[in-house]
Amino acid sequence: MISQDCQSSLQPACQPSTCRWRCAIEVIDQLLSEPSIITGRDADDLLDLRWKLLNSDDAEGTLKLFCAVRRRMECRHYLAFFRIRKWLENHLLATVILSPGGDQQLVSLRLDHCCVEALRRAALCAALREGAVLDRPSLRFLYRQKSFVHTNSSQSHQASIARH
Amino acid sequence: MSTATENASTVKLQAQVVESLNLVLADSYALMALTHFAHWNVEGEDFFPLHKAFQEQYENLFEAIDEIAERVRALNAYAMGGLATLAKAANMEELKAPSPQKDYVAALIVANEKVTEDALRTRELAGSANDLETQDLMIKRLQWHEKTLWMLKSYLKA
Repeated sequence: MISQDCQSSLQPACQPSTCRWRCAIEVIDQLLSEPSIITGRDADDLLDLRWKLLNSDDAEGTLKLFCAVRRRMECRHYLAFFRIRKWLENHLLATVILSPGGDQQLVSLRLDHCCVEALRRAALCAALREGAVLDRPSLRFLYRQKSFVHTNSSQSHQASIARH
Repeated sequence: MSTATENASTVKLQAQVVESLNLVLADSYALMALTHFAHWNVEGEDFFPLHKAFQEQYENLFEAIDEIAERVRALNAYAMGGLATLAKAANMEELKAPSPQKDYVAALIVANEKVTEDALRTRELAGSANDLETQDLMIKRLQWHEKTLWMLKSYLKA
């Protein structure tokens, strides 16, 4: 899930990839440390998101919660949510199978939408190649590191990530 | 400490200053390219003030790059160069177009913070090496980046 190395933007070796983005937990903690600008409900939402990031393997659940909190708070804390968004983009991906029996593709995420269904659609579109057939596609969101650990072949997976 | 050991230590410190200064050079070059990109591609309600502000920023960076590179040469070393080399050293994420206005500003904040971190380290190293000229140059750059960060962050305030 969250890389042990990812403590701050000063860590050039933050894995996976060469993430330069400030750790999402660090950003949330910074927001929580400013009670004058964080309301009670904001604090509840941020604590839920923090818990989810630290304790859950459920990438889709994390994305859903992030989207909900983002819709409510981003206009007041744009920079903080930009940092969390970029961190999530670097740490999550989607695995897509376009039709039963087809190859699994790994797709990088770009969190341009505040709704998981819209993100799912964008990831499906990114996985579609010319001539590909979309037949009962399946898509799962995963933490990058976890998916690499499961397959134990990060290099071949890295190479297959759809660039977009 | 013997004179030979002192000399070795000074040479090592000077090499660290040059290496760190070259990283600030790469950062500044990459930030200039990002800011230029934002200047070209920003669109929407605040187009005119952002377009103008980004222009002022990349013009300042262009002059700063020359000063930093010339300081490296004054230290009897060679300045880092070549787009690929500079981009690899700076390790900054590229911007995408189209993007919302606020994303350009937020991304430039992150990039300015990166330059600031590396300039701070260079200022400290130069101080340890008693290289006051490099330290002075870094202080000047830090003042500019901190002012720029204040302006960019003010834009994002709700």
